Amino acid sequence: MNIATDPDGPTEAERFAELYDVEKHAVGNDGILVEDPYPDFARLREEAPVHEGKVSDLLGAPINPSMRPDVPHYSLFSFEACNTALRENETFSSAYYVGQGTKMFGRGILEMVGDEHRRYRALVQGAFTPSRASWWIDKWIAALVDEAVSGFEDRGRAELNSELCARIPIQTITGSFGLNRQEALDYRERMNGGAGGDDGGAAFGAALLQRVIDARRQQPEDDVITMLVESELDENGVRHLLTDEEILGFARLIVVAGSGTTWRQLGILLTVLLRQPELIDAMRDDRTLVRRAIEEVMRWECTDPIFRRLVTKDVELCGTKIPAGSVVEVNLGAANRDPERWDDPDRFDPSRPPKAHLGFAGGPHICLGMHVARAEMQVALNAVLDRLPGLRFDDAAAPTRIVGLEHRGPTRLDVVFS
Amino acid sequence: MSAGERLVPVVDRAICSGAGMCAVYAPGTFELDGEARATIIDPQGDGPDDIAAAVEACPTGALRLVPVATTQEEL
Repeated sequence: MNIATDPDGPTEAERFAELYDVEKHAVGNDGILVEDPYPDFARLREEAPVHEGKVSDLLGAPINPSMRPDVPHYSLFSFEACNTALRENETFSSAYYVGQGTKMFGRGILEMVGDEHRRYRALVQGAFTPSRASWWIDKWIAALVDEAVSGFEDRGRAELNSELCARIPIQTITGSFGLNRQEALDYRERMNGGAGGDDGGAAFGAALLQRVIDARRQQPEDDVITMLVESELDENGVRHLLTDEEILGFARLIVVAGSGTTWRQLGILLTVLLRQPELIDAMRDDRTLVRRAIEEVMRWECTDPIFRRLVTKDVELCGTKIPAGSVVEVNLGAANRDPERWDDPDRFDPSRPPKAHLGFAGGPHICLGMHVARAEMQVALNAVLDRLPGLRFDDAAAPTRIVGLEHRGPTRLDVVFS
Repeated sequence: MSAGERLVPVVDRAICSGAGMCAVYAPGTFELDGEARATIIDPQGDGPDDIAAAVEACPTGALRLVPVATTQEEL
């Protein structure tokens, strides 16, 4: 795909490699490059389901500068503790994100609680249901995957992190919001804090998306901004259209979340499959395993394993008293390998009987885009199975490592195929 | 549950938020309608284990399994 760029500037491929560098991203966000935190998670979970302190402190990792250094922190390690905290959103409140989330996205569903959250989320939920997955696939994902794979399938080798995994989610989500590809990467650069993006790209994203909002108010199209422009909010029986500010609150959150998570999750999925090539062979013959592998990878290793909540009243959780005003770190990664719930939990095994995990978090704030993420991984994995026979790690390259604490993913995915 | 009964899923539409987890675990049983609320398309559209997994997975607790009599006479 050719786009107008500065002829002396970086190519699109170079920009993807630069902006989607897992290692750099992990260092920038966490300050730490934990390779395998799961043995520590298991040890801590065995000691107690709830610990005082932050996950990074408990791991003895270099300190992740806390957003709220002045308040006590507690970390949750069991499935029961994490599931309870995510479901009881009035007590373990998403108001934690007021301030920092507001700065990046504007006021929106991330930080809302209870009835307000319910009413606002309902406005966008319709675009993200399982029955809408075919719209996302037919309109965006299938063509993007085809284009990405066509870019390297004749070469016999590829770096799948930047050439496949990074591309699909950002191009899907920004396309569906009416942004072009260069704008998407420019926005991404500012989300990463580059190009003067001290605000996480909030102002830049607002300017880009405002142009789309204005255009769709004039002329509706078959996209997500049009749906938001036409949405009516019911407040005590009075219905009103969403303001530009409210639309920007949704749009920036969804674009940022959609372009920065599935990228790494797809990388983790391909990594774990490449490490067990017999699964790839089995999957080529039985594609029902694709969906099961996606659910299992969400359980086994979710890319964003730590979410936070603000405790609004004194509460006892799994035997530990937590005072009002504390922050809890909900460790989804630890919860998803709780041996109370799963046999041999460290094993990646797509043949497990299906059972709810917290890979997309849980409770009322469960990932809005999870069915789009599933669709992206499904189409991409099927294309890999169809079009890259003999796929394996490139033995000449450095081994792929999964790194990070809050944002985990594979460093590089150097592969060869016949 | 006594003999002559089976468990069927029911949806509380006032609580359902349309997250769609039910349709992941039991797609033959649940579907999201035009208002993004779960509806039951076939109360036995999947195996009992998958339906139970879907009910447990509901992030807002909008699904329940209730016993119903298995024969028309008992209804």
